[in-house]
Amino acid sequence: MTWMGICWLLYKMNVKARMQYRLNFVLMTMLASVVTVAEFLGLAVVLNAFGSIKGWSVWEIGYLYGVLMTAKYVYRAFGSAINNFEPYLVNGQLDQLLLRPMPLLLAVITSRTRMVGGELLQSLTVLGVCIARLLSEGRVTPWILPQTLFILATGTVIMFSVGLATAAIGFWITRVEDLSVLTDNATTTACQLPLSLFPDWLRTLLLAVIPFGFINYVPAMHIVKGEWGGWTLPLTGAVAALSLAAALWLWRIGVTKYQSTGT
Amino acid sequence: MVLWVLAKSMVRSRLQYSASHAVRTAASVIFGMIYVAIWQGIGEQDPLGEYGTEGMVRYIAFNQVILWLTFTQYGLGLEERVRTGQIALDLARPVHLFVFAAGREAGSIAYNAIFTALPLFFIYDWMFGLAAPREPAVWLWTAAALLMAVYSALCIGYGIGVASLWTVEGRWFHLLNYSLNFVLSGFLMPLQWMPDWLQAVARASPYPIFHSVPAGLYMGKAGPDTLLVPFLWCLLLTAGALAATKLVRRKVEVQGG
Amino acid sequence: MHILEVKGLAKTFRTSVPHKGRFGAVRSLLSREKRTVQAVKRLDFAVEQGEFVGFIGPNGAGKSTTIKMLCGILHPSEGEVLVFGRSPQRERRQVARRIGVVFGQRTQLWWDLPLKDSFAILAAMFRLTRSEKERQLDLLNEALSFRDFWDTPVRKLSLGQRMRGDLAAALLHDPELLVLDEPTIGMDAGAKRQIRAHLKFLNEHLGKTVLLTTHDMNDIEQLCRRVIVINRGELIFDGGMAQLRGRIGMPTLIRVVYRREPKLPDAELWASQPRPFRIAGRRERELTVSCNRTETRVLDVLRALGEWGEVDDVLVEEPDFEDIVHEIYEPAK
Repeated sequence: MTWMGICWLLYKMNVKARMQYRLNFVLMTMLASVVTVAEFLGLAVVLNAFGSIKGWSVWEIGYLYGVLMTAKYVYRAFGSAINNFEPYLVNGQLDQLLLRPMPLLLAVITSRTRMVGGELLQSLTVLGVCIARLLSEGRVTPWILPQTLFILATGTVIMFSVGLATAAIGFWITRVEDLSVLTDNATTTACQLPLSLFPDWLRTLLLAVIPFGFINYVPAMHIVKGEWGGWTLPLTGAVAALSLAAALWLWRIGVTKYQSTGT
Repeated sequence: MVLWVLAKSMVRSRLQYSASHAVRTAASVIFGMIYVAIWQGIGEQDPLGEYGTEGMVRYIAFNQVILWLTFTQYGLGLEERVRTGQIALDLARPVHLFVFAAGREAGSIAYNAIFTALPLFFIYDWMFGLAAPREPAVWLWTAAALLMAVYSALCIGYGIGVASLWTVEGRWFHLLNYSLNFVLSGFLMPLQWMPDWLQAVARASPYPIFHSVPAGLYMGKAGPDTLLVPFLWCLLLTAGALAATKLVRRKVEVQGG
Repeated sequence: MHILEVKGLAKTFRTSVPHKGRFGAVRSLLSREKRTVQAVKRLDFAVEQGEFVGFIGPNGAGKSTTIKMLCGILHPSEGEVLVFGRSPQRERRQVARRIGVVFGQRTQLWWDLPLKDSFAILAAMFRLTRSEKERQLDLLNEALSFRDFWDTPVRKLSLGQRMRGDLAAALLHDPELLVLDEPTIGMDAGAKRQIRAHLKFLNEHLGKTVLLTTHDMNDIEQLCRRVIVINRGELIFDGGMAQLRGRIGMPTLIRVVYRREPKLPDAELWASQPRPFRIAGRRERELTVSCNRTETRVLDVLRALGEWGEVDDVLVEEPDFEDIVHEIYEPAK
């Protein structure tokens, strides 16, 4: 069996394992969408009351939100183990993964699957509605569709890379759950909004250190606002590739530092 | 007294994680800045009613500070205790399960209050100015509101913990509660500016006590009459917690060999 | 080529220690002391094909750390370990294909799924063809009889059943080396006996090399021909069972019951000269003496004892294996 085949098999097994708790499975997928709808509602209510923020209309901000969240859920779908890496380090779950004849990262990723159907549906709906609205207002061309697909891919890669780097740091400090609140939750919340709202230092942080700004803001400045040139897209791709390379390098070193637990 | 000992032990165990504490405080500041930035952005084109841009900034900052007082761990840790079978021991104790679980969590909240909320209060005051009120009556009502908020959080957390005994992944109730809280508590925006239908839903729910009510009291925009509904909710939630405990005794689902 | 070779192996851990004292808790918030722990100081040994080696030592001796370095889970701080001539750190996956590992405290099977699914996944990972997998499963089933609970979710299995499943899973890809970390922990006597029989079969009939760590001395006594004793990260003993007993020279106890009160020599006079045996205790007509079997023959002792009275009954006791080992860990002063 090829590597793809093995990954697919593991994915199926993870789903099967979750389905052992049948009632729970259905409830889970239902509740998942409710949760994300509520999250979006919080922001939407504010936006609805005031129309626009600093020149960004509700639909444009909705586009930012849709791209960011779709990238996030695609990342969560296959990278859920990386996002919740601390148990692997604390409970020594990593030991048994190191005994398998496959690259460790692959073993970790395939050890856990998260159902994101409901959440993905919600973020794609928001994205779709906003794109439709922007198209009907004549502010964007149909080029927005392939461009959006491209930045969804690069966005997922960037999110994964940051998550991987955070997890890799766990090999040194173990307690990374709190760190990931900074590198994942806080950054995601910030990037739901246009970065022009924030003070310089925060903007620099989100562009140069934890490049979440390249998931939606930078490309959207070209795709949606038309204020920046076409260079934004190749730059986004480069940032994504660079982040991935850096994260993988950090991971490789981290594995040699693994301390394991137990007597 | 039992509660004191439980709370103390929780505080001691929390003090072990220094770096993670610093990180979480930093994250909180960043979240605060994000929300403040939204309102500063909006404030550029809208006078923002009775609060004004300055007032909204303070509203957000205050909410970020008190957020740490109502932050409870998932189900008050009950699910984990069921998984390990510890719950059997807990139920055999002479202390009521709710008192036991709430007492432990109260220690955690006390830790958060002193080591996170308080420093945050000074940080935000330095960054945006929190304009502490002059009248002692305001402090009194705000404190009362915060106490009710903490108590409500404990009751709700307990309810979620009990619910987790029936389903294996009760974590979703926790997230659902978090989401409802986020929308209905007035965390981002005072309830008065919400569309009428949403406002009605929020005011009927137990959630405004977490943010809208204490912030309104603190900034002098609301009076103690806003404490009435939350107080009724506290009574209701207490009854719920007691009823839930009876159910726990009757059914415990144990997972694992 | 040795199956397993360990040269100058060492492993040091760095942990942080919270401050003690009055404001210790608060001071710990700001900074923490670093402490280094030398789990393994220096190990050298080699294992050949077909051996059954027992790896023992008190808690914290460094056994698990060593095992984890063998498997490639941990990286050594110094020295090297070679499995089939390869480094498990540099060539982890290749080594993984040739060893089977079982951790007694943690299962490698998929917890929520039926046992058969775990084997399906492992077979796919190790690139076994369907026929290879079936053939191996049939072979293993003869020894381990896991088909009895083939469809049961792993979380519902008893400890003994789970261990049989884990053993089968570790052997599915037919590795030559089997590494077991406390496989009988937590089991009742019956289950332990069963597992031991299985392991014996795997070693003697299927020719597997086995490395076993355990706290249960019966495991060692019944299965291992060679014992390695580790304490505080250092190798204290490496040799056969007989050697182990001999090295300590722990006394054999001989208990004789006389028909009538024996006439013992004067105690001071007796103790004043070196004797082949020592009087350990006396109760009415029963006399207990101890001697070193490597130096003195039991028959000679009995003959000497017979001079003090008519012997009615004799009982010879070998020292408890557990006591022997404890003598090695912590020699009595």
